[in-house]
Amino acid sequence: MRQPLLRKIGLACLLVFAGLLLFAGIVAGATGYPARTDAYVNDYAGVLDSSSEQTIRDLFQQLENDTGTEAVVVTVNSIRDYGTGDSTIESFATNLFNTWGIGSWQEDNGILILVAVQDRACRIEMGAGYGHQYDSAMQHVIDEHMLPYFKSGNYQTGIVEGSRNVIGSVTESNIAENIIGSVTGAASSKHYVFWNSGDEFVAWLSKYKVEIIAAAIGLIALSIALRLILRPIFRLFSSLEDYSGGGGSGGGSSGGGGASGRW
Amino acid sequence: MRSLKSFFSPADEKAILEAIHEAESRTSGEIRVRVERKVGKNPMAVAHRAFDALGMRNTELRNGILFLVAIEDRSFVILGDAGIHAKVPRGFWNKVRDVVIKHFRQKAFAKGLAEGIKLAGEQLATFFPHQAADVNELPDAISYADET
Repeated sequence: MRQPLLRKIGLACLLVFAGLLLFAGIVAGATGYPARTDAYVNDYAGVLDSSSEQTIRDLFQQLENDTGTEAVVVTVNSIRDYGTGDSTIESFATNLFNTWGIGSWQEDNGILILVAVQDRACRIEMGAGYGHQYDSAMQHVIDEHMLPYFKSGNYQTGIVEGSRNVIGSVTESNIAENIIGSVTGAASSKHYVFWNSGDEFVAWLSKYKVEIIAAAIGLIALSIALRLILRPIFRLFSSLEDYSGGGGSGGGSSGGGGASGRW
Repeated sequence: MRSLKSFFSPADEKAILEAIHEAESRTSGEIRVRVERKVGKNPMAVAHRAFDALGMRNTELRNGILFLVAIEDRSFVILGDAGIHAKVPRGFWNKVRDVVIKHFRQKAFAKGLAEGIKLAGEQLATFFPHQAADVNELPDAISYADET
């Protein structure tokens, strides 16, 4: 008697699940940050010649030896080439930074210098360990030592000079006098800049808004569904108690004991 | 994805290994450190599996102690085998855990582990003193979940 109803429910579930998989596929297919091919210079846009690359490598090697700070230069043609779903250079830089895990776990002291040539945008992304202390100094580096070269198409010099001045800023040495002038005016500004209008991004956003919204809804629904489905399954197979945060002795198969907790 | 090994600086790793050597020089017991990325909601179950996987269940006197750190979950587990568990005072494991976590909260990971290892080593030395013919049954190296 109830079989048709059950079948209907089953079919509905199947359809929902297939839909979710489709959306998940859209999202999953869109996470293609480039692989890291070099510790210091990853020139995917092909704007650096080998001597510039070597200059940057030497600078960064020295920085790492002296201070333990890990810095990387990345150039891309466009952040949209990778279909990551990032609509701004900030989010692309942040996600790339985290995907690559630049800097050490404990210090969070990595630095990413990202230049998107076709997008005419660049960003200096710093590890969380720095807080916002260098924001205005980095803005200054971009405004004074990178953009002027980029504007005339001289990416090579802009990137080398930018790298040199980023190091100068974090090691507080050779360009200290250059920084002081900009600190007051730009204290609250973020350390990125577009030197073209952001209209292209807005256009892109509106062009793909249906897909973006669908993917977002799909992802949310999928995560809820997975939680609902997987939780009871995990519970079924997990015979041990939940020790998280608690202490107490651990039973298990050993007959031994222990304690666990979180920090 | 960053390797788990990079979680400890060479100096950290050295300090931890020294703590293990120091502790094991006075006991027949075995101490190991395992680093995981995540342990989910049941860190103790993961610790038991690691304990088995590392062969720690095979010590002659069942006196192995495992320190497990899950860096992304910020979870820590200490797990002692049946031999040592039967001897230590009540609440001992919780005490070690609290000492370790106190340091972890200040990001002093090597220090926290070294202190915990020292405390565990003292108990091991009391109940399982080092014997002339003692063999180091297990390697001392830190075990990283992404390497094994």
